[in-house]
Amino acid sequence: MGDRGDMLQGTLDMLVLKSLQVEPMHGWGITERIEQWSGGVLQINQGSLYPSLHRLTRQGFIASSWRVTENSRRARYYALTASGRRALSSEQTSWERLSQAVNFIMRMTPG
Amino acid sequence: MSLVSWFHRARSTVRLAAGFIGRGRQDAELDDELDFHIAKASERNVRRGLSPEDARRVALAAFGGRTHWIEQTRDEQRSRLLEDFTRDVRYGGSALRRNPGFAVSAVLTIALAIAATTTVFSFVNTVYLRPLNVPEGKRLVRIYGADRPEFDRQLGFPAYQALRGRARSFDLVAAHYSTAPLYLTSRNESAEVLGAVVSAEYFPMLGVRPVLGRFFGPDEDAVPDRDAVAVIGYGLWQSRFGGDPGVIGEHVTINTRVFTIIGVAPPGFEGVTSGWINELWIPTMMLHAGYRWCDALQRTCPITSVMARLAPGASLGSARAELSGLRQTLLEATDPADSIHTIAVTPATGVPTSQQHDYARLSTLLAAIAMVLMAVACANLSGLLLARGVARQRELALRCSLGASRWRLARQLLAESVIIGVFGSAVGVVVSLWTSRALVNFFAADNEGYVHRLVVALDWRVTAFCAAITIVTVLLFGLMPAVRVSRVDPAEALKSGSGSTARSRIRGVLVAGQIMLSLSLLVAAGLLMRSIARVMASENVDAHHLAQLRLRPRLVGYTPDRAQEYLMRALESIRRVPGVVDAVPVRGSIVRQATETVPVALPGEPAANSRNRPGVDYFDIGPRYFATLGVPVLAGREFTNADTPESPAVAMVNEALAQRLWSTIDVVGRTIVLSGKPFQVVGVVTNYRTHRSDESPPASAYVAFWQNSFEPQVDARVAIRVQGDPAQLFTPIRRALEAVDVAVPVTETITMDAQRRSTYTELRLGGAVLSVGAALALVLSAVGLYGVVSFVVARRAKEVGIRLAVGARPGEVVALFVRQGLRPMWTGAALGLAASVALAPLLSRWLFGIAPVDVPTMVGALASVILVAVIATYVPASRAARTDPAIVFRSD
Repeated sequence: MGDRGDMLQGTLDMLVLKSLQVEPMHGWGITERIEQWSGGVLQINQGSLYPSLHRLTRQGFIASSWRVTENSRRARYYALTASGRRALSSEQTSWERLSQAVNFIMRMTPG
Repeated sequence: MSLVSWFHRARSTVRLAAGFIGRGRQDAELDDELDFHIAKASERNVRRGLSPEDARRVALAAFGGRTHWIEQTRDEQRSRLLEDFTRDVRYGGSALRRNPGFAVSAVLTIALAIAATTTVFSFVNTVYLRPLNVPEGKRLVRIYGADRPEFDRQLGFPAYQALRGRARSFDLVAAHYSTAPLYLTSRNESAEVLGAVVSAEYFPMLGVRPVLGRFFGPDEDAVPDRDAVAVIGYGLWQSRFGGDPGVIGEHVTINTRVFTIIGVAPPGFEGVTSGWINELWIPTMMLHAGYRWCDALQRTCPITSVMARLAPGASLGSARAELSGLRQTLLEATDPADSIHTIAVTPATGVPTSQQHDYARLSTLLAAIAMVLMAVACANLSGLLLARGVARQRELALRCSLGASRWRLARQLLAESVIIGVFGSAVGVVVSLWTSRALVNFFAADNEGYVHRLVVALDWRVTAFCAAITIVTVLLFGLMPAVRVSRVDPAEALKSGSGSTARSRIRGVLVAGQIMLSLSLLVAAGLLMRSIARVMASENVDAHHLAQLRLRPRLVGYTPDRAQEYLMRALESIRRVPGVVDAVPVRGSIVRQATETVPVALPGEPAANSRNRPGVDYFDIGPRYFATLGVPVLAGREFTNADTPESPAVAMVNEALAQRLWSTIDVVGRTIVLSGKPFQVVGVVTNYRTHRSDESPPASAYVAFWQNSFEPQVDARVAIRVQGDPAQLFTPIRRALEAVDVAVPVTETITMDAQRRSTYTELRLGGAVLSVGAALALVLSAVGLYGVVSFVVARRAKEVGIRLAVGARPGEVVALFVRQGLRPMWTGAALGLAASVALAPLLSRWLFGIAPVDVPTMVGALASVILVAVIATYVPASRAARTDPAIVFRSD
């Protein structure tokens, strides 16, 4: 499925879902939002974003529609579905468990 | 093309096809979305200080190239089902490639079953389904009297006249007599040609056009005996006239009448009676030249058949409805002796309807054998796939616990079956092209020496059938293993190799079923082979040095006096040919059929046929006939040259007739009344004529040929005893006969062996097909049995190791497995014998000199099955004895 980004497999999908939690957004907006929220640390590999969006669409987690932007341009907006919200919350829980565990290990001091 | 590249190509084709639908719209949207994103990214890059060009280039580069991006996104969109399907096929293909032995044997097994069924279907297609190979073939119908299912009647010429122009469902109606032996003399050569006598509508109705000259015009088929015109076939034109265009207008003699050739039929056109290849056509108004036994223009001599072409817009249903309205008119035009009450209209497909009845029994037998082979092959493949499923159980269980759905696993196994099925049927179709030709070649010659050719071809019907049968087969052998594997409980399967008892039981049942079918086939094959041997050996007749031919002075219009004078001289000239021992005339066939029956009575009784005095077969035979055939005369003498029209009327009887009339064979000197005429019995012969086992020997009477007892002799068959090979003498005999009188047709020149073979074509074919089928079924069963025992041996390796470790002798271990392996065989054999006894009556029509339940045949078949089964179990069982006892300590 060609996830060639720097992120862990599955993490991108989770971040995309998270970025849509507030309001529907087009692909470019999702990229910007994630970069912004992460203070520029996370650079979304744009070649991976759209496959991810279509994967999530097929899984039924997000839905898309064409709208006109504030500059009167046509863009495809993505929005979370109900099952997308559920998926996001369960992802969030398991991510927190995982990151706590990783942090715990990384903070251990030898000796 | 290699298997691998084939798969790749097939896969990309499927992808293309899958993506094609709705692709345009999707791609446009993808482009729009991409453009929007690039635009936004470029805007940002410009804000960061890049030139507009650079801004766009960098934005594009972030995607790693536009095409790449689209490709990847599209991958995500592609229909999951097709994606999975191609993956299944790829996976199944590689699984098969890893195990080429299994793949090849599986493909060959299924190829065999497909070849068998396709061959039988090709035959059925040829005999029943295929329309005539002419431009208008699909609209042609046959119209005939259909009161007796086994014997349809031609309606005859007057019925054709009554129908012509009266039924609006047909745009053309034609009469034809397509089995006319015509004696053609042209350019100083004479030979018999199979011709047809046809009405003027015949060629236009078929849509056939001449390659040279023209066909019959309506005015040439209007007045009896006036227009002697003929059309010749393309083959005859080439062979007889060297393709000479000057043949048009040439005069030839057909059955002693001079005809003018007006046209040449196109190549490949063989007439309308499949299997009978016409090479010469004359109009129906010349029926008197083409048929001599009665006036074929009268309703009392119905030898012409009626065909018609459905008018545009007319259907078979409307034609039938219209004909039922015309029924009375039509019936009045048919022969009262035929007492036809039903007029049938059927599409003109396959061979003529009356012959279709002849083939029905054979087709049924062939279909049954093909089904049995199919069942055995499927059972075998099921077994093999089950065994593979077991061998891969742990792999599958592992994948199952890793999250592969069971449906997915089952589908993967099914994909393997599909691959096997597709390749198998491809091989099978190729094989069937050859085997179906071999099959129809059995009918290449009839027992009068005429050539027949049934054409089998791979048309869409055969292809469709093959596709259908492949799907059925794949479902038959692929579904059960797939379903069973999908029920694998991962926990159970990963623990150990246990839980296979149910599966072994299924495989045992499969083996028993295969053995049962093989044994029944073997018994049937054995019966037919023994029957054939009896027929060909024909105990009482020494056929290997006998030939026959037929002298037909009637065809050239000789009077009885002139004909008999000719026959005397002809016989004398045959006897003078070096190598000929004797030549004797006979009226009626030598091998089997009697020409006619006569009422028989004792002196003083009424001379009519009745229920308790049925008529007897009679033959007019010349002097020394039985000596020539090698048939023993039991009492008295046979006819001599002294039996003339002036001497007392004499007759001979066979044992059966003597027993029937007098209950003794000591009957020389008694008087018998045949057809109201008294004869003195001078001799008794054995019941030498071949007869079916479920019938009693036919009662036969023989009268002296030259006494002209019932009607004066004109034509004669001649039985010729020779030294050496009879076929070698046909040419010198023909020369000798030409020297006597070149005008008299000599036909049905055939050796007695060839005549016997072709008289019993159906029997020989049935025997050959059954034998091949039985052998294949037995081999397949052996493979199945071998597989089961190998499987059990592998399963119980640990147990065997323990046994050997604690001191069991290898022989005991082998015996254990052989005993166990043979268990399903005994069940199968018992069922097989029961089935043979139950089904035996079905074969009785083909049994000569042998009873349907024949103990030696059964014992022989059973012995072969047991022998093969023992070998098939012993080989893998002996492997068990070589088990290394250390296996006990190895972990699983």
